[in-house]
Amino acid sequence: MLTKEELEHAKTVLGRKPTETELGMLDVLWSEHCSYKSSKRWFYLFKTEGDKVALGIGEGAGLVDIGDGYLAAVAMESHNHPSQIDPYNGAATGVGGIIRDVISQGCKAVGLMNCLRFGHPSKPHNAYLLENVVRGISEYGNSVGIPVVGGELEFDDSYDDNCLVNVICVGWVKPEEVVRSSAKTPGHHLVLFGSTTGRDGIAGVSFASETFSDEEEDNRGAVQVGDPLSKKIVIDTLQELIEEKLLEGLQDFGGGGMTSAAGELAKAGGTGVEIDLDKVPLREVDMKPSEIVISESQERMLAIVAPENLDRVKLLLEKNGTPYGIIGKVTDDGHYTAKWYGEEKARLPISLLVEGFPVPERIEGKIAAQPESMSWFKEPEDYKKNLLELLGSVNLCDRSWVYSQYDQHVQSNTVVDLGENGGVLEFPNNRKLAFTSDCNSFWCLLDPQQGTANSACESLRNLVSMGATPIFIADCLNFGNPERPESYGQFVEAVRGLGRFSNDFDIPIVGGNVSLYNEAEVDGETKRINPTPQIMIAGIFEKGFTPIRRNLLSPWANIFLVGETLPELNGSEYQRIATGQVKGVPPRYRPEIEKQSMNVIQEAHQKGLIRSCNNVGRGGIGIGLMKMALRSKYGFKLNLDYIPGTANSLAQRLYSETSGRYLAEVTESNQAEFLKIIEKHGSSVCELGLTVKEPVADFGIFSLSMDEARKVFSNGLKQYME
Amino acid sequence: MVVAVLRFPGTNNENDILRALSLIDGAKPILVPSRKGLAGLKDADGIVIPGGFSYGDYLRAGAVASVESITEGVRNLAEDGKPVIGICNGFQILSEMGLLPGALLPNDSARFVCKWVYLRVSDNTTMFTEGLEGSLIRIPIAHAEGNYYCSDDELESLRDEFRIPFRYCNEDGDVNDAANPNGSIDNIAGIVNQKGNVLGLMPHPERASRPVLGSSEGLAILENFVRATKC
Amino acid sequence: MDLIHEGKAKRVLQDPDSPERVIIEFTDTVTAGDGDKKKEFVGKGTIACEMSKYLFGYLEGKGIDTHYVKKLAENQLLCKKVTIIPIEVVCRNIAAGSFCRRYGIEKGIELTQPLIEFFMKDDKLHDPLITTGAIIRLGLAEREDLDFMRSVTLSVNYYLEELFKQRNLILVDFKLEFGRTEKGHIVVADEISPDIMRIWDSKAASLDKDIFREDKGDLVATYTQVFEEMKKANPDEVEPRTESIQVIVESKSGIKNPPGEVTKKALGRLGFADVEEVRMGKVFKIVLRKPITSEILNQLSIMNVKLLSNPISEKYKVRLE
Repeated sequence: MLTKEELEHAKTVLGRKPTETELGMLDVLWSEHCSYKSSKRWFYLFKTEGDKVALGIGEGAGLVDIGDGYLAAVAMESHNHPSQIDPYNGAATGVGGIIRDVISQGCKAVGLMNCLRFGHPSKPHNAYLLENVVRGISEYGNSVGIPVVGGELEFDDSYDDNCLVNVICVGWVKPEEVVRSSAKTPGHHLVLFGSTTGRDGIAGVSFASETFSDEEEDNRGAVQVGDPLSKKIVIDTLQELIEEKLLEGLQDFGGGGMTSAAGELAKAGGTGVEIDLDKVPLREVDMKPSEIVISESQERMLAIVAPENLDRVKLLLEKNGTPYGIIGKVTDDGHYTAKWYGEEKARLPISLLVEGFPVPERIEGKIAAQPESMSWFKEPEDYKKNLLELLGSVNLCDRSWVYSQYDQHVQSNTVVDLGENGGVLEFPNNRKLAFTSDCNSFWCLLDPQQGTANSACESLRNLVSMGATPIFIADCLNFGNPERPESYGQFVEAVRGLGRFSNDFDIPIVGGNVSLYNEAEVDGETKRINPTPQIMIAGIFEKGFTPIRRNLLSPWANIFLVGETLPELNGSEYQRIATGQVKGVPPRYRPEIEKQSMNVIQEAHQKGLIRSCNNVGRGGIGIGLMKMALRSKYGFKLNLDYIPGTANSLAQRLYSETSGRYLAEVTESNQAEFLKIIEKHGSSVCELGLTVKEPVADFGIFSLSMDEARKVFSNGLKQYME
Repeated sequence: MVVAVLRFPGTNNENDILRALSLIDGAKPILVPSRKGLAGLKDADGIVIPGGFSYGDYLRAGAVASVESITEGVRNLAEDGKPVIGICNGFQILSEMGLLPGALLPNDSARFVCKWVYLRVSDNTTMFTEGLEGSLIRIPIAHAEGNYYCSDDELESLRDEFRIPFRYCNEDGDVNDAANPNGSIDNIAGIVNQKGNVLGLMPHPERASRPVLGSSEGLAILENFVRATKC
Repeated sequence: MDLIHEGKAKRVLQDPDSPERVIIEFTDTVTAGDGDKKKEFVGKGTIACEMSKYLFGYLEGKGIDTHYVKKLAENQLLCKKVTIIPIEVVCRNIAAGSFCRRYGIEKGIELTQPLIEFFMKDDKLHDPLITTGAIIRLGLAEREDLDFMRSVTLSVNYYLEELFKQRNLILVDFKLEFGRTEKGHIVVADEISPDIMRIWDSKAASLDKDIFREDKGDLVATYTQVFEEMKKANPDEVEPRTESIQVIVESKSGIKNPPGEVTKKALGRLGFADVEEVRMGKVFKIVLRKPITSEILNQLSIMNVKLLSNPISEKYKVRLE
């Protein structure tokens, strides 16, 4: 709901009381979800420009030049609140929405990713949410025919009452086919097409801009219902409209429905709009104009069509059986006018409606300092048991229960599917792009700035280990209630972290979304999610380069560890398993070291020296190595005595989560050249050991069979879901 | 020869098929939207019904598409002995039409399943498996309703008439329960009709048609199909 | 002409031209109280016949299957030959007659929605009220037949009520009989006249056989008056009523039902440990824009075989709402 201050502001500007319809419109467009009123002021910290950036943050999708006359597109968004209430439809429509963002720019959508966070699946409600979120994504995405090529899954109690569903869609477009989201020319028609308008999802954005109360079940009406068949038909229809260059502008109906779609078109074009709400094809006959203007019914698009093209557009829409309505015109009066059978129901200046809100005061709370101490740390009594426990823990174990439900191959462009460091797609210019997304919310909880930057480093390493060069970032920033100083402090610190990373590594941020109010009142207490700045990075491969995977490829090869290992186990999975919580200063963000390691791996890849490669992240080298072996037929035999750095015990060496490290499988014949590259960049390295034919993980003082490990690894999540 | 690739509303593999067919000499693939009806098939020498979710699969996979008027044309071509392949949703449509026996039930897991599997090709030659007899094929599946079911009598005649060219197996070629991804009776991944010119196949040969995709072992099935259009 | 059956107010004769047809002859006899009270009224047969012809024709026009074919003589209707189902179906909108006596309530209370009652056709037992369970167990009719008769009776009620309303006539209650034709179709049989229904004017004065039951006036004159009034109503102004049908599709027993099994496990996870089996199916709600007939039920089974269910793995049930 509008605050008192906002209502007063609107009255002052209008010189009168807003009508019922206008109040609804202002309410949705001034919601945090649509307006970014708490967050936007900090975006200056991001690096958003770059040689290759064709379209930055602001419209449906960011566009980046990938050569040969093609642009890659990316959009990223959250659908957290709806998924908590109705996980199946919430997640499905989240996918639907993000696809719309990409196609509304004239792009072909070619890949999806989803980053999910829940409370521990041993609680039935969390398992229910996970099951249905995955089913929603699966049934929708599979049906629309866009492969899932990446994602992330993390569990923590802080998500018990606020699960997170962040979705990403990637696509491509030729520069001459880009459709902009603006309405520049008065007299052009507004054509709504794709689906009918109903009461589903009314005021969904306002609901996403509030914290949950105990009456959450009552909010079901605010959840939209997806219809993948209509979406597929919209995609096919849109393709025809774009190929014939019939559209002057295009905007999807997302949060805020028609208010937002038409308002943003007018704002971008410096024009106005006049809409006849009675021309909107309805699903429920008795809808009020105030409902029609803010309905968030799915699968709808708003096109700007020049009068001379209108007949052709109508013909194509009719041929494809797509519901549509010619609902209004672009005007030159700078106003959003909505009429109902000729009667004016709303007339708001665009400058007021879109971004005309009074900027609210927000207080940045100070983040409590964490102790450096690792006094909690002790070596495990039984190393083997401990490693198995880590391998089977929900944050490290096999995720195939989730991703086997996603179609990863439709469209036949998938080069690397799920379960690797990142997904890889082939684009029509025969260039391969890799996509990865990470966020370690435990690090971010302990130190939002360092944790965010380090999460981004993990994404970066995922790409680099495959042989790709990072080219752009998209993000989705999930935090608590910005009206509380402590949540707002976390948010601002995380933005600083991401800003630092993007500038340090010179990678532009081209898309993103902010989801605040991820808090719940449970028994009178505020329960807030861990700060979760989800970061997605895309990388591009040199022409003809075959992406490097992480499964060991040959016996008797050397396994090298690149980078120093420090005793950084605060915030690690090891700490969580050992003590049941995370605390202390998490691993530090060290951009210089990170770059050094990156340069080593990139150069070695260029020279074709590395057979398989893995990033060291969550779970340290212990888990990193196990994942390399578990996806292969081979095992390894190690000596961990000579690891560079100050980690001084076996468990510290195995499970420290120090950044800037990689594991690389290098055959004997390439060893000398590989070491030369290390020396050249001044990086630290050690030969951990050899790959062996037998499927055994031999860590020197303890060992285990791969069969045993695989069983625990593959059961970690499945045991709660089947 | 002209290969008609059908597109029903909701079909989503048509471009994958067109692209894979374009790699094969002599294939002239054309896209035929189902609304064109019988007329859309008048020049066709063979038909591919691609995967996807025709009509959203909202009723039952393939059920709504199976009663569209264009399916009469598919029936006619099949009767003339021309080759017809239904892949994934296409298989579901062919069985709903009754051109192939049995039904495709929801997977045992009741969930969609997407993964790479291995197929054991039968030793007995069919139009679609020439040169592949007895071999092992690595190929992806992606479906929610791929659990092949038929009566015991039907299964017996499928076996007796050598009409089961493809069965799920493991990496070593063993056909066993552990290698069955969806609960199909007798690990069946693909069957042909009595004449041998209509193939229903749950896995996706077009997604295993180029090395960069991880396998090109599915292309041979489509090559055989194209060759059969010329007979 | 052979007499097939002689009833209290009608005689059924074999049509000499067709073995599938009969001629129904309306007599001037009026009976009440299971025939305890009996009297002749000259012209009553003619007016009941005329009115039945008119109303059967009207209902046929609205899509309801009846046995009526055409009118022959002034007191004769040519009808399809049917086997009468030995159940009388009564529909009540307002409490009157035996309903009031049975439950000790006052005449004239409006029921919240139309009530259907079944009576066993048996003069010796004085046509007792009978439950559906008893009908099925006594083998008098199948459950599907009862559902069908209930649905058709409610349609008849709607169309008569709406027609009468135009002339300020109130349909209080009525009784229908159904018969099965040679083809197995169930159709409305017998007659439709004030002999089988209660009609009141706006002041709740009887315009039907109650005149005779209660000795209140000239029966034939009243019947003629109410018929004249009825004929002034415009059948085209009665809007068609939609009917809904549910088709329930389930997997055949013996066929695995993975969605059910997975749901059962999920229920277990939520703590419902006593769930023995879950099987998941589908329900279609089909809304028709005309009354249900045997022909429509046949079409429904074709719809099922063709589309709604897969006969290899599924079975279906039709439920009339």
